[in-house]
Amino acid sequence: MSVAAAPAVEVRGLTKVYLPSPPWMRFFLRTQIREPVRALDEVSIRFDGGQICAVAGPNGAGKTTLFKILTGLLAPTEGSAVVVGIDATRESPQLRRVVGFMAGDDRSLWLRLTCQQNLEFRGRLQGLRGAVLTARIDDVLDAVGLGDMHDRVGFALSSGMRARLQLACALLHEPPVLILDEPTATIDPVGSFELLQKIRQVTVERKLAVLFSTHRVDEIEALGENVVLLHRGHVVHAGPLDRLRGKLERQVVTIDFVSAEAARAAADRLANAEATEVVERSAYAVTVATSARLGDLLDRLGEATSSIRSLSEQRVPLREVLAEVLAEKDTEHGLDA
Amino acid sequence: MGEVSAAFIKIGYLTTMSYPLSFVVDQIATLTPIFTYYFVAKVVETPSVDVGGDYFTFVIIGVITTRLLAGGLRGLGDELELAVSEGRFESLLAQPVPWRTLPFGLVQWGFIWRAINAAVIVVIAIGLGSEFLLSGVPAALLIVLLGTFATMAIGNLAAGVKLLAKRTDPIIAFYQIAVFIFAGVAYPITLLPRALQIISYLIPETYVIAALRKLLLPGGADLPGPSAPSVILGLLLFNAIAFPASLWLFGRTLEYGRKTGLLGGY
Repeated sequence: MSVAAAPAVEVRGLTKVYLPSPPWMRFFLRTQIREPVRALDEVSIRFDGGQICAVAGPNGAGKTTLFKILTGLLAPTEGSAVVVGIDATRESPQLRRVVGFMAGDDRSLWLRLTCQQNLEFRGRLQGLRGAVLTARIDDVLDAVGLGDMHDRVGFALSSGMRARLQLACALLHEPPVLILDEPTATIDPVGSFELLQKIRQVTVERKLAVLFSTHRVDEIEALGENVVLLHRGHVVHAGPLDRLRGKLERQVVTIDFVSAEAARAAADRLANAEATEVVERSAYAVTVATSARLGDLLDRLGEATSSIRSLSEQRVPLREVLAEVLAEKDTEHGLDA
Repeated sequence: MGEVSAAFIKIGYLTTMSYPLSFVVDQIATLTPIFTYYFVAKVVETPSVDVGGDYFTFVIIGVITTRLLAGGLRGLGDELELAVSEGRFESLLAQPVPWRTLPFGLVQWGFIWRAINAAVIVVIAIGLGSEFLLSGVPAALLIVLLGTFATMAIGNLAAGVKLLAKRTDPIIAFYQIAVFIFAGVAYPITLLPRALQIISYLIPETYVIAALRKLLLPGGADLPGPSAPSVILGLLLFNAIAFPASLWLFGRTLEYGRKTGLLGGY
């Protein structure tokens, strides 16, 4: 089957409902829920190779459920999920050959064994052997910056290095798709930055499709060319990060005037302007949050524009954009944020 | 498949050897019963029932057989529990290996180690005066192999329960009690009340132990119990049905875990 033209990941109408154990079964095994939990609800996303996509959302949004389905570890209740042309809803070794999976913590490693031994085990499970396996191990360790750490045991690595070793394990069989479940969850900011750099580098060099989940806004900004924002199992946004900003694009504009009188007059005019809110006022300056174009804003000021000394604008932080988008979604569904 | 097996054996070996103190202490612990039974045998130097020779050798065959077959019984469940509790299970399932091969992969190092351990026990027992019939060794090895597959079938079923119920493996607990009491490890099952002997004949270990004693004890040929060829035939039939069925059930359990999301939890 040719998989070249297929999208890297295509998910349609994906729904996952976790059910509590039937009452007669609870003595033997017990799920930790009493009521059905709809972890994913009609989720549809698609993205192509060579891209990095951040899957973001608060705890319980459905990120891990989505990732487990895409790696074949969890069966969906409804819908389809296809990874480079392979049905991910069925348990299949073929799917796992095209996906490199990195878990959020380092417990998937044998920490008492060396980097080389960890990679040898994974490689053999993937059918690699001999010189090919040796060359791949050298290649992936170099790629993640652990080229001189072949014989270092896991416990002697820093958290950041362990995360990079996990990344090396995920890259070993040269999968076209990487799925990284909160890859920086246990790492300090410096280690996170280094790991993100490595992820970006290997994505470009190896033309991979990378899907990673994160809670951290700085990571979304650093890596997420595309963002899937999940909330209570629904897709709130799927597409370029800039478009997400555009959904709630507002800028904060501070206008400095040459006189207090001009500042007062400007504040009065702007208070009644459409899509504009005066958020701060001092003797000579007015700060507004507005989604209006800057030209419209200046038009609104009329004669006061000639009294402007300086003007500065800044973007609303992504954190606030996300919080507002999610709060808006809660309001739509009549839920508390 | 060969490469996958080699990978699991090597990782098992490396992991075991990375805990040298535990490794040495475990081995010493497994040798303790030899000396206990050696002195118990001195107490019952003239047994009241026929044990096919000396009581010490009679018991040693029971102990070794139980230990070897326990590899099939406990191996998968123990390895799964370890992988889940150490957080490696889901990443193992994410490897491009058919899930139904996991029972074979995970238990192999345990089998190898138990076999080496059994060999050491035999050597020590010989040093302490035990006598075994060398002519019976090839058939005995075949029976142990078939018996291991038989207990592995039960172990696969138990591992499936453990996979979902996590810390409880009631099948194994009850089964091991039954083996110790009813399979004739330390005494002939003819000493049991006739009604309880029915339980003995429901346990594969009973047949394996009885056949091995007939094959390996100098006076074992006349001991009561099924002959070695009939045990081989019986185990072949049992394995032909039970082993594929257990793999199928284990696969169904994994599939149920995929649906419910119970695979990675602990």
